[in-house]
Amino acid sequence: MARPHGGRGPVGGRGHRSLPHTADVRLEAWAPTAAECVAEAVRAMIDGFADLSRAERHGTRTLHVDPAPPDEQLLTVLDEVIYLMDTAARVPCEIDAHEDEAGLWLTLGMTDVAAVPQIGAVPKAVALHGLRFNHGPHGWVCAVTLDV
Amino acid sequence: MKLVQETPFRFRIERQAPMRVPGVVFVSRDLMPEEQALQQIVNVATLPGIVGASYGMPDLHWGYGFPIGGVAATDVSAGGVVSPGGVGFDISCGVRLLAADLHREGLVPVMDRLMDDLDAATPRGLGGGGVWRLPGPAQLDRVLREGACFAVRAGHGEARDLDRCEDQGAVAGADPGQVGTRAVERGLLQVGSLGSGNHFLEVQAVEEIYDEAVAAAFGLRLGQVCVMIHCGSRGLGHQICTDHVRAMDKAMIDYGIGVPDRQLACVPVDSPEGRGYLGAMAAAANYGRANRQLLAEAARRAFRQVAGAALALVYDVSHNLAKVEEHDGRRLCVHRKGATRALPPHHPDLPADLAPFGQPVFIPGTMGTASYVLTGVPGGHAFHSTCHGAGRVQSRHQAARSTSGRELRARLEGRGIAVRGSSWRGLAEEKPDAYKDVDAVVAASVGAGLCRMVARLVPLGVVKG
Repeated sequence: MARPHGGRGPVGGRGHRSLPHTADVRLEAWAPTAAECVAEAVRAMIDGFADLSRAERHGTRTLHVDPAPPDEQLLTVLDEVIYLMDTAARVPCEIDAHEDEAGLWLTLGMTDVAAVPQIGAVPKAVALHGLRFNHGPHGWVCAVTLDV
Repeated sequence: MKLVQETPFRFRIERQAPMRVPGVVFVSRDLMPEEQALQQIVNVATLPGIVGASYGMPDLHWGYGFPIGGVAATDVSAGGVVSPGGVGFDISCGVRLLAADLHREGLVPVMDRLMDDLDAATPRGLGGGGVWRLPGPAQLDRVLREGACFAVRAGHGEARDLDRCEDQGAVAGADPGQVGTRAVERGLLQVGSLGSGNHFLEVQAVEEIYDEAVAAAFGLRLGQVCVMIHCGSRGLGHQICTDHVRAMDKAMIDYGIGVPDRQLACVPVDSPEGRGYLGAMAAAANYGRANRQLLAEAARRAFRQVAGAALALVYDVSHNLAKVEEHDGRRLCVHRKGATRALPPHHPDLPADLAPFGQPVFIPGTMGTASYVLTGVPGGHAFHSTCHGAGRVQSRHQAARSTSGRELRARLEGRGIAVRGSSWRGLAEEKPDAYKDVDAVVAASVGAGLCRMVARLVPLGVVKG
């Protein structure tokens, strides 16, 4: 999984970074397609608290999200990842995403949280405050505030 | 935004459309928060049915929807709303203080072993589980209805503990039927766990006493060892907030309500969605109280085994909650997000032995500074509310970038503060100078007439989430 990009911001390609906010965690992700941007947001969320550099995949989980506005799909995916951490003690270490007429599809390579070194505060919820998911000249960009 | 200083510790934000009430911020000039926090005070002032003012406590800072350190009350009979964002994700996050029958000098020979035992006995962080493995949803249902009372009845505590909890350990009106399946699943595995972020269990000593009589009534004396626990309702509370904010985000249009920030989503208190949220919120609050009860029991075992000492509960307070309260003959839904209720002496909700002295209030500082014990005062403002902590000034990213966890631990241990963290970066994110000066926050709280000081506690060791 990619490490967080620095302060360069969404000027093309794909990446993610954290943004200053005194309440918990705010992150920004960008990618050429909406589906890839959702995947990048998941990577951003996990990079904030888990070191996956030595993580090994143990199983795969497919996540399907019905067609909906992009910000709603983003919330659904991030909510699901948080729910899996708390209830199944599993976290995605590999993420592939694509979109078709049936909606958004994510293939999540999963690993056990017990095998992952914790490097930061663990996200517990996604806020609606300042939620953005837009298409611009350089592709898709989203910004999310997480409660930890 | 027009900000007018009324006293050294009180600023007024003049009402301008679409605000329904003015903003009132209890800060000194030095503690004035960022523009975004003041804008959030203005946003809250637009909520239907809000009365008095949209208040900011001295530790006010930028949150999401409501500011952290915000207090707002709505008139239930005048269509006043309830907003889950005004409580926050971590419903009934709060602070519990226990006092040991032990002087700090008696702790020195066993401190390392005690910290190791507390470290092992306090589940926290990623996938840490909880102290209490509930057999199934039926037992969780009882936790949600009965809170700390169920924990004590199940053998996790003493009957006296319940006299020293807000609401005697259980908020009335809990409705587990309003708690979704996902919240239940998240809650089953985490009763008796600290979490991460700014949550902690700290071993402290009473460094200074400002009011001997009140401190004695609270069970505190100079040099005494204490344990402070800061945590909330874990994944269950977060899921309840998430579920109800999302539902209200869609439902509020039916009530003709618009808000300037989606995290302020709200509906009338007296509506099916409003009653549903308050029932679920009370259930989460009860979970939070049971959670702190179980962690306190784990700390008691460690103290008994290592130091031969007992821990008596001083009090347990929440600082993220909405309550329907009577004020000046009106039923108000008082939201406190990052703010602590501070009942004055002789308030009917106080236990009899504390009634002459007011409600104990606990203000955690940071790992390297001090924490305070306060009490409510007659004529307290903002519906008898005060601050809840030091208040962040730096983002987690900023804090972690400027200090390493290893450096921070070495610095703290050099000052005699033992540290047991769950991650280096998590520790760095909580470095003391990422927060405001807790001494200044407490001085402003007292100066503004919100509370008065009882005692000052200093850290000896911290188990960090």
